[in-house]
Amino acid sequence: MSAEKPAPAETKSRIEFQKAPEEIRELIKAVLQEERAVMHMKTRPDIYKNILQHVKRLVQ
Amino acid sequence: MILEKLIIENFRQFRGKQEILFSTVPNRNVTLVHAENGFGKTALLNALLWGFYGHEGLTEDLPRKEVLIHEGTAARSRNPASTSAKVTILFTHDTEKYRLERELTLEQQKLDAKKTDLVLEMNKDGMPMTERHPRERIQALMPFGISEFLFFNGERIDHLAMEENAALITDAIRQMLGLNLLQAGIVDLRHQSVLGKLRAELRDRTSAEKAAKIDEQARVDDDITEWGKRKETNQKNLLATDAELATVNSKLELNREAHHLQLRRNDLEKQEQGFVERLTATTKRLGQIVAEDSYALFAGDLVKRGREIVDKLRNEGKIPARVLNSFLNELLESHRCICKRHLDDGSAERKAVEELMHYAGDQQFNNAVGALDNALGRIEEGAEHTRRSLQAINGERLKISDDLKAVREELAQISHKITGKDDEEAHKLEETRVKLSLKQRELLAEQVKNDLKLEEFQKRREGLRKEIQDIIDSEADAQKAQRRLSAVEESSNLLQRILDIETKELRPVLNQDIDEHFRKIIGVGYWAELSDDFKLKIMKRLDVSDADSDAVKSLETEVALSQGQRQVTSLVFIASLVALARRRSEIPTIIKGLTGSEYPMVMDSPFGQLSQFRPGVARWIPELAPQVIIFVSSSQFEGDVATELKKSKRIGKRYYLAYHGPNIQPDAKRELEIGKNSVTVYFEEKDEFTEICELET
Repeated sequence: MSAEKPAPAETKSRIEFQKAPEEIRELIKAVLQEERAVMHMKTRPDIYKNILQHVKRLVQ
Repeated sequence: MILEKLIIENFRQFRGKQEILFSTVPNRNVTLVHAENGFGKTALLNALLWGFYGHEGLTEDLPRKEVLIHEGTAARSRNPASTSAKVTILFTHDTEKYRLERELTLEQQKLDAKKTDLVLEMNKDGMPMTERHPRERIQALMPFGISEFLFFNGERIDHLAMEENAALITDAIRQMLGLNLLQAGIVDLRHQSVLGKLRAELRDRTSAEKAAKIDEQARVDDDITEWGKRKETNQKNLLATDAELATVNSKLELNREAHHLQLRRNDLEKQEQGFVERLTATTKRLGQIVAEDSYALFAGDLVKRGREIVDKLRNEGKIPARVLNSFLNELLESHRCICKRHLDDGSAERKAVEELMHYAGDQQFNNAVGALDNALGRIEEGAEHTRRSLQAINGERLKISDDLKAVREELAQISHKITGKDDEEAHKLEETRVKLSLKQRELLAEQVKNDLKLEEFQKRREGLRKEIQDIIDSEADAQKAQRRLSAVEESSNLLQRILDIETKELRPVLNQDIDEHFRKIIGVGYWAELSDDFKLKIMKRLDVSDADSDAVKSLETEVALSQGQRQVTSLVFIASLVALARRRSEIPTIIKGLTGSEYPMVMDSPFGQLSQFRPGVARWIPELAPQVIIFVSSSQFEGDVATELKKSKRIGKRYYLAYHGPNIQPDAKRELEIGKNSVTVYFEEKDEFTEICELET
């Protein structure tokens, strides 16, 4: 028998995040994913264009 | 990131192709490389740094950075295009496997050694995929900013524990724990190319009035950013001044001449603070009473006039109504009185009842008269109560003002007394204190101004938002544009809140970790503190005897650290941060990449200045970091370090560097006794090169 690993406690920031409407949560995830891919590049002209597209896709 | 293997080829003194397999087993997470001074420890550290970051990553103490290819190999080369130095690193990061290869040909070295070829492959589903932007990808996995915390010369890291490097520490914390991503997300959303563009779209679709308000909103946003920056700078200055003032106060407490006066001042300053708080509360209470109840004081004439009218009506018998008009109406409609007489039309009896209608009133009128009587009474009572309350609270306010004045006068006298002392140090400290207090007051005034300005702008922004919302026209496009704008604003505000929560929660955890680990390694007497603005401080308790009463008072004071103590402090900080980053990687968060991660600690000669702290470092650092790679000379290793590492059973892989060359440094040994092994590490010969040799563990 092996003891089950306890589920990690919810963090305050996750609770705060979960309180937001789904539209906002999805937008934040999309923005952070875009930023994560390019955050160390010196030039990154597409990021703002991509974020705008996410905004227009998610908020109708 | 966990390092798996390093392959080096003709890099500095490493001739040909050689490799080191790092231990990746969690409970045997230490890889030891024994090397005498001058045999290639620093070159090995630099091979890793060059692999990840190229020329930019090479350490300051590496001489002749433009010569990276093994000199003998380069001298014998007939084809500079096919002779090269190459470093290959195999590693895993967040369960993904990577292979990195950096190469510099002799031909390129002669032109510009900073330009190298870099290939990064990620293994996806068993297939190697070449990264299109290898440099950026490496930066994303392990930003250059944190490399000096992970790959370092142990004898040169003591600077991290110095106060002036707080910014470096803050940045490392934010980078290693993934908070920079949140900050970057906020900046992205608020960028002119996102928020600005959405505003422009909204303006194009709306009326001129709304367009003007949107323009004003953008200007108010700029003002908020500007004043926010001012506030931040002011807060930093205020914190620094508070810290300086606290130091001066501690020194004054320790000064024999000023000791008593300073203690009295501390007491008075606490009293002063209490009086100021009470004065503020009392003044607020006074204002509240004036705003809510003072009308009663000014309503005397009105109440008097009301009374006169009511009395007149009462004297005339008009109030309260003795007979109700509804009752008379019922009699007239039924044509019969309560005395049974008929009330026929035109009869004298009916006329008599109709006459009564002049005096009759209704029930509501009666009720209103009662309520008016009651209200007039309450206003009269209220006026008296308000008068008494105002007198009492104002008396209290004046008393507190007097007490505050007395405390402030005594504080001024204390300052004069200390300034007047013959003691040069006390005199100078007091002068500094006066200057700092004035500066602190200016900064506090500035802070209030900044807060008021920000509040004003934020109110205006909120007002504008409501105004814009109010005049949103019915066009579908405009509404959609408004929704998008609101979503972006809401998202950036939420990200800011999350960043604030994360930063606020992580500091005490890191603080506790650092202190716990510091106490284990340094021992009794000292403790570590990470201040609100991430300054690393080592504190101790000092017992000061009171010359008059013989009482002993305990003071907390900051320790002036030796180089060795600073080195330990820095090591403990790095290890705690690395441990926290690993723990944080196990906590679920809103998006992958926002968490921390596992990082190795690669240390060249970490035991140099540590003296009595060596055993603690050797024992505890491998417990904290997921992977520890140590390059160590025999003089630093033998004794306590060897004993502790052996006891810990954490050594997973072990190598030594064998040096071939015409001569060696005077302190370097030719033979090493490592555990049960006796190995020759120096071979005298004309050609110079270093070999990596594995030892059984």
